[in-house]
Amino acid sequence: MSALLEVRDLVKTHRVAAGTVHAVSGVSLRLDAAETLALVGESGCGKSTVGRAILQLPPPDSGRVAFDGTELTTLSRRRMRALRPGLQMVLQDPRAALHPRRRVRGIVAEGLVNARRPKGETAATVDAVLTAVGLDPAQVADRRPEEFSGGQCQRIAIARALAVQPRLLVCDEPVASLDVSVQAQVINLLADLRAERGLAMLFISHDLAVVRTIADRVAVMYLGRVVETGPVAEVYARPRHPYTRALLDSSPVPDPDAPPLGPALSGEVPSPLDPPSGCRFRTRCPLAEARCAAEVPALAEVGAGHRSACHFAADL
Amino acid sequence: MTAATRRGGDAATDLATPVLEVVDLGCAFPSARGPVRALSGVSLRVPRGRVLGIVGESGSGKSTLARAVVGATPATAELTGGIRVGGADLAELPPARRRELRGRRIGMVFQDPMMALNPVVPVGRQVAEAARHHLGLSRRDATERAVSLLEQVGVPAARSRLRSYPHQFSGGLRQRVTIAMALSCDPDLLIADEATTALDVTVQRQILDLLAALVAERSMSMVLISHDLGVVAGRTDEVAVMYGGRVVEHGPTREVFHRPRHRYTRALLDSVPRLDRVPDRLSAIPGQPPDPAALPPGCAFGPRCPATAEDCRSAPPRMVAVDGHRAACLHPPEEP
Repeated sequence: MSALLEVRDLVKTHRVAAGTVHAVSGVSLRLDAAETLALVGESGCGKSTVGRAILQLPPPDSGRVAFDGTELTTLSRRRMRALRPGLQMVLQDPRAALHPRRRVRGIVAEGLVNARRPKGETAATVDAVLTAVGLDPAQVADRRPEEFSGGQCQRIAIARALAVQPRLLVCDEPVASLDVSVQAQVINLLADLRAERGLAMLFISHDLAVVRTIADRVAVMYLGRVVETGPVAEVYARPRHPYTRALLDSSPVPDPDAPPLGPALSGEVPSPLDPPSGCRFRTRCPLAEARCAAEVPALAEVGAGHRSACHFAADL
Repeated sequence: MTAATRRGGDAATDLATPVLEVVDLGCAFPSARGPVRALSGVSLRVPRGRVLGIVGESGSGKSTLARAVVGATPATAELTGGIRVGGADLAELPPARRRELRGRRIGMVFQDPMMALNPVVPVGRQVAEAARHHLGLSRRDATERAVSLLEQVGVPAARSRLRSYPHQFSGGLRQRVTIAMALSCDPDLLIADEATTALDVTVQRQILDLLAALVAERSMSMVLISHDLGVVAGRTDEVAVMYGGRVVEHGPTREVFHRPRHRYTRALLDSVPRLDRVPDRLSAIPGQPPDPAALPPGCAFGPRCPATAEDCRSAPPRMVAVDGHRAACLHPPEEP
């Protein structure tokens, strides 16, 4: 079966005054229809850049992005525009993503108008997607984003993405700015929509517990590269990369009797302006040896669908 | 210099006196829509050497509480009730003495280190400043003290970085610098208000470990404020849960997490995604946290509560003792 989304050797750099930021340095991913792949990592690991490069916003420096068999990186602007309804995005801060002075109806209809859908269809679609995200169209459609809470704004942003019937939803930290009690509502909503509509999701998050709840597979990123990937239950139960293990050990568990955490990592993420040679994690890795500075570890199979980029994956 | 001389040798060094006691604290802000009640009837005490966690969502009043304690609420805030620091009632002290007491006894760490740091002053001078002001140290002694504090909070090569500016530090190191500043007068109490929220998880872990080590080494007390139940769970002796400007549950951390006696605490614990337990579906709490400008007359959680009844709607329930802790819930959840 061919994948809905296939990303190969994605590279993205940014030129800044101080040099070149190596944001993404050779990332490959695969996502099937109706599947949820989580991209996790700490700030600066390149996870958001990957999400945007997939949507060609902006396009990557090199590498390939195939969506449903169509190569996006070489597509003309006009043809990309025609494909856009198929790939939609939900961002972290719903208030920033929604125009404060426009009415909800206009915001949700925006994609439909851009896609030149018939006018008569638009009103019915807006009502249907607002209902699907748990809002009452009669009550909300004529109001403006500023009248709503963060959780409700995120529902509106999700409705806007759904209106054009996407097949892939790229969600970049969609619950990170929401209150704990509201987070679960939005996570459940995304899970329901996925089940009902067969949506594929690329779920970008720093929160490993949220990812555990929603994703089928996970790819862990560090400084522009994927260091481990596999089924989420398997990766969490048997991490085969020291960075994944450290992330899991650092994630707080809401239980006073939780077993003691493993050792903390030392230091912080090095600058992506000048990433370490070889394995980029080696400067903080408790297992690092001379070989790690010389050779970039390949993302190699360590179990069924489970791959790790560590020279010592076999010993973990 | 002994601890007693450092603290001025007053009666407040008595070990039985709580380092902080808040009694029936209220805080309201005037607004066009009428008073915004940020805090109502908050009573808490922090015994010497103990760590109190405060959990709550946005608008729950947890940050207003911290700011009221250190005297950092905006001038328009109308405060009622009492705050005692080391047994001394702040309201009874002249302003200069009140400032000195707060400045020397309480250190505070905020979410965003850049809010606490001056971007155009070298970090060494910023760490030394409070010691010069409150402890009257010479410039040279204060600088030595700054080096020692920066080393204690894990800033590598501290002496050579005294002249560095905050922007030359990473987020985690900046937070270490603000912790050094908070410690500069050897406070009895450290208040950490979402101090690790803006940090990556591996760095959050380092800072939480550092705070725990400092509390133990210095026999300090700490108030650890967080929206994250996971941050508070393993690192506090007691926890207070806030909602709608009130403390709705308070007790030993294990008691509150394992036997919550307030419907909100129960619902919050059930709604949090966790690594160690994966339900088919999270049990979400309907609705959203209350608007502090439009609190209902009864229990603030009532409109979202599965067990709300007529008696919940008339007045906010009082805190009553149940199973070794206190909760303000008329229809508490069943034992799990």
